Amino acid sequence: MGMITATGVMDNEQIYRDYSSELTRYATGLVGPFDAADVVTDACLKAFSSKSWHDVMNHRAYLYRTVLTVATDHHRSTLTRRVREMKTAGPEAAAPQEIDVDVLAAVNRLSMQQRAVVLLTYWADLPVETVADRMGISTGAVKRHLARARKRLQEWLS
Amino acid sequence: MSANDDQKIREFINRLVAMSPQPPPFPEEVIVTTPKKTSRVNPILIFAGAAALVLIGAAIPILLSGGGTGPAGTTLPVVTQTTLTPGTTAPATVPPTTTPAETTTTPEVVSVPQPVVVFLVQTPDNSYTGNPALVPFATSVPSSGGSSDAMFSSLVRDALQLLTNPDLVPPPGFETSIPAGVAVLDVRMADLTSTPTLLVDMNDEFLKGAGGLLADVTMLNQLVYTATQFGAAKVLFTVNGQAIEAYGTEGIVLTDPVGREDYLDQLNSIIITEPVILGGDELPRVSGLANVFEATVSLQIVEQDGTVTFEDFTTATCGTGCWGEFTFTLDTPPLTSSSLIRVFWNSAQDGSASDVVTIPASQFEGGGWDLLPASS
Repeated sequence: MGMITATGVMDNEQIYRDYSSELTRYATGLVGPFDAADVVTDACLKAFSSKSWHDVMNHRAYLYRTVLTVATDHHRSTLTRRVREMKTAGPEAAAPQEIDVDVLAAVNRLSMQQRAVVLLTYWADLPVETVADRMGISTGAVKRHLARARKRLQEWLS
Repeated sequence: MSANDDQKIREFINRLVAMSPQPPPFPEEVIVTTPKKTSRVNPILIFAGAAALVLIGAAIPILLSGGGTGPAGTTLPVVTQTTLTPGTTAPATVPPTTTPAETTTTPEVVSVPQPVVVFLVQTPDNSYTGNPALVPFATSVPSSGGSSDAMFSSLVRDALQLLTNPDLVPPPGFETSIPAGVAVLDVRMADLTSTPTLLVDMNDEFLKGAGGLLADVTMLNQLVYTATQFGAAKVLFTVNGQAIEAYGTEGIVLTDPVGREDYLDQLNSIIITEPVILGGDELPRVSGLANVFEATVSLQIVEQDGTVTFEDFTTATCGTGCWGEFTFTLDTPPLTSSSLIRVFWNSAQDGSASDVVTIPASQFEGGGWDLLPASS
């Protein structure tokens, strides 16, 4: 077990080095900058400890899906609270990275699935089929989420 | 959707992603020090991190002393019982209180109340379909912990056994479709597929159903929604450890795992999926699924005398033929323990409130709803 585990950890470390930055940006789009690191850590632990992890062919896609699952399960209402706190506390209470409260408030109007679809479409530039595969939903569902997200964002952007 | 709009959204997304912090460090320590544990942890178990810490914290001193691996003469801590406030889908974080103990003391297995949710049924007012509405009730069950795998399974099992307990007393206006005699024998995680699946083993009575097709489906929905409250996607039912083909009076096929979405259309057009929590750290929220005209879901806060003190509406993520999620955050209304929360949609024909689900707000205050009489 020791050798196998050691090898597994080394592989996982390399995979983590390859994808942790983009996963953190993806998680930021889903739950905001405050909890993105926690989501990525939880998601990686979840993926690395999964029995099916060693059979996974596309680690990147698997990790993206796991980040979305963790974000959905654990942080549904956190961003709402964070935005409220930020608005109450004012800009001087901002975290080290620059926080755009208006942008966070806007993204908070989207469901988690809508956020994921918008991010994968506009940030990762993925086609509908790949977005569907990465999220584990149908292409029809992707189009539906995207249409509704666009509508909501248009209201905010106009 | 113009190219200009697309460009605006792209810029918006870039502003959002630009706020990203540095990636967290590789979680090496956890992987290396607990390889066996992490390889067995089911993906859906991260939900219970906070509660697991409490229980695993209780288990560590027990293992150290009982297993004889601790150094002789070491003073071991004893974890005292800690009451947790029931949450929605993730238990609240309450650190255990530790006190020094005598070396000769054998720590006892601690039973800590854990927050769970059970789904009960309401017949909606002015219903178009006559289908029942599901409403979650926050409550708590004792749990003696163990490994995180075992704790997860035992929490789900306890929640289901509470739901099937013949002594269960639904709150006024609510009921259960599960007949007395139906019992949950065991719950465990399945390693069958990549979809997180729970194996729920029932007794023979389960096969008889609830006395009609709609009642059978409602019973199935109650069990599935309660079992999947922590994130498992599907439930595969067995009876006495054996696979089953069909169930109930009309022979509903149960050869495959069942998910929340499978029998949505046999439910009210509005169902509530998370309990409304008053007095917590966050504002009370009303969340659910709806398949209503133009995806418009309305909410009222009504006092006992019928006075409407607050009204609002929101748009579900889908509607008019498809199911969408909706959430109300109750940040402004005067919500009291005597308030009723009414969720409905307005009929396109005459504007009347339709498929009305009414939730008494007080039921979710404090330690959750006591669904069993004190004597049981």
